[in-house]
Amino acid sequence: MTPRLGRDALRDSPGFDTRIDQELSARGLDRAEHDRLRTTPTNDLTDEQIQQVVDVRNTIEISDGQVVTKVLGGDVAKAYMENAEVLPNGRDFDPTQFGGSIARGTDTAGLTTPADLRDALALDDRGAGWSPVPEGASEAYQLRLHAPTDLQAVTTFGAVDDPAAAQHVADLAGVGAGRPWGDPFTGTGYTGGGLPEWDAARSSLPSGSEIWRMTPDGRESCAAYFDGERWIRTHG
Amino acid sequence: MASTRPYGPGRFVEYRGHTYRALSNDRAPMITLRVDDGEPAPQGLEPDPQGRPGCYPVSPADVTAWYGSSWTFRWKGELFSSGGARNGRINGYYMGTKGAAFADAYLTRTGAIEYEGTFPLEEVTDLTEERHDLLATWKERHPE
Repeated sequence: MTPRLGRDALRDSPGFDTRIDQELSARGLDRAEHDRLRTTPTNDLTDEQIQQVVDVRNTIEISDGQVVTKVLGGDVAKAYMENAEVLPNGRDFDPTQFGGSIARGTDTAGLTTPADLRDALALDDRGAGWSPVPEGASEAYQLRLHAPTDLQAVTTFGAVDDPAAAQHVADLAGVGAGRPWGDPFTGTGYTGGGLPEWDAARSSLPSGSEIWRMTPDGRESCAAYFDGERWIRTHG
Repeated sequence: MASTRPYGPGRFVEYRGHTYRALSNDRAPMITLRVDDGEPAPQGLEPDPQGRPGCYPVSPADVTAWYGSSWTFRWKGELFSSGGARNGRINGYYMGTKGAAFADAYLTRTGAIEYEGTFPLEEVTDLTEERHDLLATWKERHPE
């Protein structure tokens, strides 16, 4: 099997920086100020600032078939590759599904090391234990797949630890429910590291999904691929 | 072992009056229909040329329905995206609106914005299936 979703394949459309520049230029807005706003928790922004952020963010979309990515913790990556139904900690697992926080491949293509992923995706858990990329990690795993036609993914608009404020942001953005998550959530639709993120409902993995292993020297290798029913390990 | 968990996400195809599971691959021109143990073999279809047992490629033009299915449920009134049921318990990914305070109290944090839990089936309510009509999408893209 020849891996198909290496770093070059992730760049299937212009990245978010290009889109933001286009939108800000059309609106006569300053990029540095916008970058500050979009990485600041919405709790600390005015309605006018939130509106600016969500209006630009709403122009960044996942198209059908576009490559999307998801960082996996080592135990989760191993469970996928072993087609396991239970994680080592006893948590239920289905290796034929994915969901949760996802990012477009084109936006993560420039993140070549575990530290890059940890910073851009704001994966510092301050010791809580949920981070898929612990500080100083010697490897990281990334799930890569073509977005299915029936992907249900919503932009992560909301506010930090405040359900009412979260819904207000969602209303300004014109979406359904706002997310009231805890730190390091921002509610702007971007991670704390500034990368556009979406929250995906549980979905079936498409055939041809791949898991890539990344190391601190910037190298990557395909560790496994999904044949539609099972994960098959490769030599990566 | 494509997922066969009840109330989990999946794809399905109706061919000659029988509903089969389907593998997910929007980039392939054919749907891969999956025959599980005890199901009738589909009439008029050739087995998968790649040799995958129980798999039969079928053209979207030859099926009467093709859809993606996903489920949601509520636990303590909060919304979850269902990962499916197994051994009398159902796993869900938190999508509710009470947020971190609720999640920290009852669920396991698995990522920056991800919490999930596994509950006895009898404790959940509002199990709801949503279907996405893949055949209609295919027909829009392939007008006769």
